Amino acid sequence: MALNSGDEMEHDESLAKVYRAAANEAPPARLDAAIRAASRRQAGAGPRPLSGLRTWRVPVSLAAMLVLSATLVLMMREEGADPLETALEPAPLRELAPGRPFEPQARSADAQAPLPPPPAAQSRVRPPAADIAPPASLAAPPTAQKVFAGNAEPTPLAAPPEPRREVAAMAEAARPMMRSAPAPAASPAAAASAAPPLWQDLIDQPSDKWIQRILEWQRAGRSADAVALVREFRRRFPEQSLPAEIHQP
Amino acid sequence: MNTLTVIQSAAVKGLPAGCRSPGASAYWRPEMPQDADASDESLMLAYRDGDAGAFDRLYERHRGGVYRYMLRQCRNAALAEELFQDVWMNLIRARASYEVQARFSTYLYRIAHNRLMDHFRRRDFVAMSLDDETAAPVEEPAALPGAQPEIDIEARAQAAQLLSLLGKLPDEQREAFVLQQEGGLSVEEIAEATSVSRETAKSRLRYAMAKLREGMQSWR
Repeated sequence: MALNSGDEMEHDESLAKVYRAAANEAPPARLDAAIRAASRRQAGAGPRPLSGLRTWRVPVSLAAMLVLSATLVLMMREEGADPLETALEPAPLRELAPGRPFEPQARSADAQAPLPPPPAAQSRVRPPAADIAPPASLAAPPTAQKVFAGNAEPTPLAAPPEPRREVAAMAEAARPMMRSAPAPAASPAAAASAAPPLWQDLIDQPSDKWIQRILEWQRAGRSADAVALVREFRRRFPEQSLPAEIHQP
Repeated sequence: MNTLTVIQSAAVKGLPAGCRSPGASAYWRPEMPQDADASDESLMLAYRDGDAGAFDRLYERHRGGVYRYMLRQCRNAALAEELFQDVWMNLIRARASYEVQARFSTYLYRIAHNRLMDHFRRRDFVAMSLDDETAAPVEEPAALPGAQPEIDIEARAQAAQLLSLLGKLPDEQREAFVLQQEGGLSVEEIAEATSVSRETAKSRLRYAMAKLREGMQSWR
């Protein structure tokens, strides 16, 4: 801080001394009494209304983050389901007899059969691409199952090692693509941090303009921006309360 | 050094936040009780949680500073009283949402600054006029306690000269000076309280100091 660094351009002890001697005005006693009485009335008005919210803020935020993350992961898995992944699902494995060759075309017909799919396949939304025939090199379902099942018991349908290597190679090749998928989302965030704040044009405006803008953004569905604006509003106008229709973070 | 560091270092030294150790700086905190060891922030938190006594201590510490800030900026005793009361009422109303994000002084003087700006906006004042006919004259400072008569006269004249010079400063420069003197705010805190950049606050303070120094040359 400049004052701590002894910058005399911004501080002058002799001036401060003279000012100290001159500045002796005080508010009248009636004001003191009125303000103190008001403070006591407020202090006795009951517990803080926001204390519960403050206590729960962190756990609720964490829970919201978890739910959001899980939703995002599920959405990404749904969108990222490609013929490769679909072909690797264990569902068709049960339908195959030990000696029966793999026939992907028969799958849709088998879907009508009373055999229920495994729970993993049930819970997953299958895109239309699921019915696309896998490449010839993927015609080894048991091997694929091993790729995803890790230490699963080997089945009698164990395929020759050649296709297994290919499947593993393709799955390996697909991983970087899946990993790189969220990358474009990071760059706009980085760009946003360098951009001027959302409230740039409100800086010199009175509090009612801020409230108006918050309401506009909330109505327009810009929830995140509105929340950021509410935070900045609270910082700039700590004495102001927000209208009830504003959703407060 | 950021605000929290200041608060923490003050707490470590056992000083109220906002008060510097005697050798560190020449900040002046008027009406600060010597035996008070609770920081402003902890008092405000205690008041938020229902301790009315904490407010009394806070009020005692800052009532003079806030009042004089209003008086210097609007130069009308009746108006200053009205705005002063509003500031404290706003603080009381905002207690439920209080969180320590800055030094309490910065928080308090931000409320005071906002109230002042709000008043002048409502009255369509572009700037606070020094030529306002309704403005109360600058009061003569009272006698300094324990001073000898000739020293007293000289000190009073010196103080009157400073207040007169202060009244002639542009509003923003005067505000920066008063915030420094009454609130003990640093340049960064003045910037925060008045919603301007650090450089702007620094410039205002420097101009104010330069003009006051120049005007007080004859007393040096």
